[in-house]
Amino acid sequence: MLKKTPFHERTAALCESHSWRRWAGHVVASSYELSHEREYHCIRAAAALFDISPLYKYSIRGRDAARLLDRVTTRDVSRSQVGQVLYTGWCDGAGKLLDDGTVARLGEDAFLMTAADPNLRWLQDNAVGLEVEVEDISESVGALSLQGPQSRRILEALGELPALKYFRRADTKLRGMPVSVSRTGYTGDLGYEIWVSRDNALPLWDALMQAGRGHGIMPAGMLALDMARIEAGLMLLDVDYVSARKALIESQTSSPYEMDLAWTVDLSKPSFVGKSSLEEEARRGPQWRFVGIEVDWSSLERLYAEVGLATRVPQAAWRMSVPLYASEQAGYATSGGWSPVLKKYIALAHLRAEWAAPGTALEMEITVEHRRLRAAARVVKKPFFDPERKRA
Amino acid sequence: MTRYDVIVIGGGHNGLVCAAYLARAGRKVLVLERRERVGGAAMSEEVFPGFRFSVFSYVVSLLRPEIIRDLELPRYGLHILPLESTLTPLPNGDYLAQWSDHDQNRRELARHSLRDAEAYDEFGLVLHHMARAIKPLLAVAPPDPTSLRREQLFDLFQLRTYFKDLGTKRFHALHKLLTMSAADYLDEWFETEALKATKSASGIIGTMLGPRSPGTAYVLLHHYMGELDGVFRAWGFARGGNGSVSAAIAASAQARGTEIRTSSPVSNVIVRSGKVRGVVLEGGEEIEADLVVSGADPRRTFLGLVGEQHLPGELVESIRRFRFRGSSAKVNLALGELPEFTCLPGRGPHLRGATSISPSVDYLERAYDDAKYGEISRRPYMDIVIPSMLDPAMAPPGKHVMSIFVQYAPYHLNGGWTDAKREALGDAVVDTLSEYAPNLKGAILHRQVVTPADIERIVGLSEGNIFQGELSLQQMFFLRPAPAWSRYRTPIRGLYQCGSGTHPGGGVMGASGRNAAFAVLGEPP
Amino acid sequence: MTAVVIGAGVDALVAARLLSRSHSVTVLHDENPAEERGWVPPPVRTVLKNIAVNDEEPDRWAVAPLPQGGRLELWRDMGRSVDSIHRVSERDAARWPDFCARMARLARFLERIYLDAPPDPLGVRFAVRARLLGKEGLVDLMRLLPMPIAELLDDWFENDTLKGILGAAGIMGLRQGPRSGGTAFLFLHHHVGSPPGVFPPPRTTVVSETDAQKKKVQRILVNEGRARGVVLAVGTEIAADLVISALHPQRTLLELVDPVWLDPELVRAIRHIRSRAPAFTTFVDAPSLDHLERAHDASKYGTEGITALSPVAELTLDQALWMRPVPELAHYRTPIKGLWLCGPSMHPGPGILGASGYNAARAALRG
Repeated sequence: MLKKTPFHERTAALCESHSWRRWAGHVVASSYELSHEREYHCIRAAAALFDISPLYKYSIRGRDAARLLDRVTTRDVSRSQVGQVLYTGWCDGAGKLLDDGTVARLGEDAFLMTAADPNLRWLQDNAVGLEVEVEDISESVGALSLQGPQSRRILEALGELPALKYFRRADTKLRGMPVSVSRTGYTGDLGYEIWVSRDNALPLWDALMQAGRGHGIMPAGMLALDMARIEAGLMLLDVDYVSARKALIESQTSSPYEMDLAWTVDLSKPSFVGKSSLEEEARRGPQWRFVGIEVDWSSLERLYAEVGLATRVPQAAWRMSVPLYASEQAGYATSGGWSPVLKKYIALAHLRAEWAAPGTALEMEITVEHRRLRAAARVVKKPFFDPERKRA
Repeated sequence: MTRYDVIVIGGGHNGLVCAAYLARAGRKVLVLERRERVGGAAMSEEVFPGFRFSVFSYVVSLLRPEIIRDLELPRYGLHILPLESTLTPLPNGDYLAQWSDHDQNRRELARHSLRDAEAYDEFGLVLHHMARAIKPLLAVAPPDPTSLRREQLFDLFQLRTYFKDLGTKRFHALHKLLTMSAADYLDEWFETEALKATKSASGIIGTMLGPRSPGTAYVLLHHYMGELDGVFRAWGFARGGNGSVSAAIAASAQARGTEIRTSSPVSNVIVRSGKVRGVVLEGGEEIEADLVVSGADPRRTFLGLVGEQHLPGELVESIRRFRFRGSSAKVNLALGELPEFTCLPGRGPHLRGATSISPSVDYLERAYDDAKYGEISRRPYMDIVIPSMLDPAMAPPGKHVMSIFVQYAPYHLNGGWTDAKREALGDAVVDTLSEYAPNLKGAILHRQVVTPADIERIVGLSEGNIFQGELSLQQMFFLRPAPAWSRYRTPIRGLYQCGSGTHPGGGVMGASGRNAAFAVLGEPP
Repeated sequence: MTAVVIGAGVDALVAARLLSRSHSVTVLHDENPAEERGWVPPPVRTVLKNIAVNDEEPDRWAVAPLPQGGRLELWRDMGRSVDSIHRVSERDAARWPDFCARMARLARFLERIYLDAPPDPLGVRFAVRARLLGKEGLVDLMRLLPMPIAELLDDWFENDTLKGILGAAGIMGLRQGPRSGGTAFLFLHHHVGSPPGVFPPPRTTVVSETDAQKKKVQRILVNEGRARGVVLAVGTEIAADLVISALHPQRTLLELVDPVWLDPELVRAIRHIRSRAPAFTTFVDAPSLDHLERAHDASKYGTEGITALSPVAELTLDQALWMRPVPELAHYRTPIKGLWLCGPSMHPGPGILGASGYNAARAALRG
């Protein structure tokens, strides 16, 4: 049996499509309506409500809490401020990514960490010799993500919303229910994530849906989220990279540098897991880069026209390995799709460093009428879509 | 009179595999089986009217996929049905289940320990790598490190290169796995007692060692070996029982021209001037052949069929000290209804999988303590399957057969095996199991208890050892069955060995039979 | 150049003496030097000149009562042992000299390996050395290493008392019974340094009266991945270019060093070093293998799991030679530059007095 999230009673009633998928052992909606299209547009034009409870959540408390996180992650956690949220990856001893997530500082000695995979054992094993308590609170805390230009107004309608800057968090009450709100998300838009105890999950859902009615709120599923996160250039574990914990061979692993996360690696910290390997890599430069790819529309159109068809684009974001070519194979895309807001065919890709500069002309493999062909594409800067409201 | 190129002694699965490969290569092969049917310990029988049992070996875990493909076994009736889960009932009324679905398994493990749920995948990955490292070694004739012959030195050098290429990290991991105890190895990974116990149980099967004895960790690998061949569930049950594995191999061999004579016990191998000339049957009939392959265990082959007078003293000495010490028994039950486990009532999917009575490592260790001083385990380790849940034809409609593998039941029992001791073993098994499934006693229609002494008497395995000799490190690889004679050859020219008592040995794997066939043919496998 | 050696035993003493030729050495310890017994290899003896080394070599090394009355006595003198065994088993007496010769050959093989850092098991040098054992010797070695001592003795002998006496050497210092795998290796280990036919571990005592200062080390200073010295419990800092610790590796690396300097995988491996209390810490004259086995039965259900920081890492095959105490540390070197390990938890292990100190100091001086 799969697990159900604290919001399942509501999401199940709303899921007209009966289209479900697995996420971290839970059952979650792929889309609520028969097509995910409206859900996507709500993210960019109104407000979309996602059940993100399957995320793994760890409470890290104690005198050495910051030291533990400094040891494990690549960011300088000690220097973060109370109320700040850090996005970070963490590595094994060889400097290869194990996972990525956020670290929120709740107090001097208290943090909340989110992760895509279970990490309790890793955190505990790294806590040897430290005065710190790591607790898995994944099951006891429900999480919702409210994303879209209307999201702030909806929250304001429910209570005292502190003026939160991008990647900040605060405890507050929504309709009298104690919650934590962080200005974070996985869509690259204005949005919030709300953390609530399991008992208050359903009332919170109801309150948000009710308050959001006038602002065009819709529950949204994973298909809509996937497209939005690609537009935002955000990577996904098990899709865009393989955790060093699960990789069968070394070439399947990726370092933070190879995933375009150099900005999250603080080599000035005295030591952290993987530091020496990352220092070495920083010196010689990464061999791979994680980049944005834009497929050339006219090239695509031509390939279809040759067989007498109008151009087709993927209906939903895809997740697979697609070869990219320069003079030889230059890399591979790992997720992509047709961006409804940009009207562009975009993808996220691993490229060998020599072909990774923005503007580099490439070819991407596509299948047209059972034949494998190559469409012209080029390297572009991420994120593909970056509205001002995200940070404003 | 027909002239045969090769005589294979013993129609067990390895003998049949060997014969089939030889026939495939165009040899005229005769298989001589002592009993009235082939199969050896891989045999199905309607023990009670309407109830069919895999009387001895009962699961297919390691049968080499290349054998299934090469010999076209599915064409001859082989269908392996996967066992989906392992249920370990616990004395406190709870249980631990291991499921084949990743999410379901993680959820269940997390109920016992969040750390273990996480460690499980990493553990699987490490063993996957180890299984990959070991796998190529299963298909080779192990070189003798003491030999100075050129081809042996060459093979040794290749072996060294192979280990070097593994990298030091994996080599050390392999070293640990080969030398540690299952209990210590699992202690490094897990904290849930029932999980450690159930996993370590695979390390003690067929041995006279406890889970805390170094040398028992290696067998943990076997569970992961199957995955490398694209089989996602390593353990399975052959439709029709394990006899259908033998039957399929026999049919495949016959289709390739092999002749099989049952009820034809061989009394001895004819040796003249250091060379094999054929065999003599117990009835006195002589059958000539220049090549003879023995599927019997090393003790019966060398000390029985060949005779000490034809063998170098060193080899005789090695075979004498080759350890058998059978330690496992089988209890086969015909049931009027399904067992109802207190911990998980109802007809759930757990009944389609295995049930393991292994609540803690201490429990297994205590079972071993009884046996090492010559007694039956008062509370034995058991591995239970209900084949009729997967193949309803094994029992009359609505009724069931239950197959219980039991350890420890030492061959060298104080006072020897008697009918009373056999029934005492049966009672210990039923009593222990009834603690977890109270309706069992009332459900039993018939009971068959097979002791190591019975296995020896019926199947001919010395001391009832199911692997034709213990699978301990000092009896493996180039030491199996004896130094310098691990490559399926013998000091008698033309005489080969193909049983589980040779490398790699153990389980219904067939690798020994296949490797031996290639040794006879003088080709690499 | 300055060096700090931490520890009170012979290993620390030997390491300090070797280092003192080129370094100014401070030896620190927080426990009184225990009297250590074992075998002092010749090169160590040379280093220990002017230190009291007391050899104890009793002529009669075992006396065990026989169930039928009388006693089985084993002697340094092969002939006298054979006579004594002859009274209980003609067959065993006939086999005794051959058994002793074959065990001695294997022990000498180990002895050579013990006077250097652990060999590379896939190296040519090791292969050549092993082949020099000859065919019989090599088969003996490979077969014997993973074996239970009980099986080895069953292969050779029939008398229970004789097997009991010998079996004790296979489990001394180890939480295993004689029917457990790997105990034949321990039997050989304890035979190293003894003449053929003498199986109790050597009992030479070293009274390590040293110039060591009795000061408790609080932690080892590490900076940018390099050991810089130590801090004493009283707060004093002692700077050093080289630190050699003879303490248990768990104590050194998990307590004295901030584990942040170590790869978490290595920390995990170090935490898993097994150092459990054995049923017997000394050589006993056991009447039978069952007697030893039952003594072990009583100890093995102890509720304590992996007891951290017991005196010595168990000498099992997965914690021996190039695996001792974990493969990453087997060459005395740690991932922290300038920090080295020695002591009985390192190769070659307990009872080979000073060898690890000797090997580690030489490795450290080579850098």
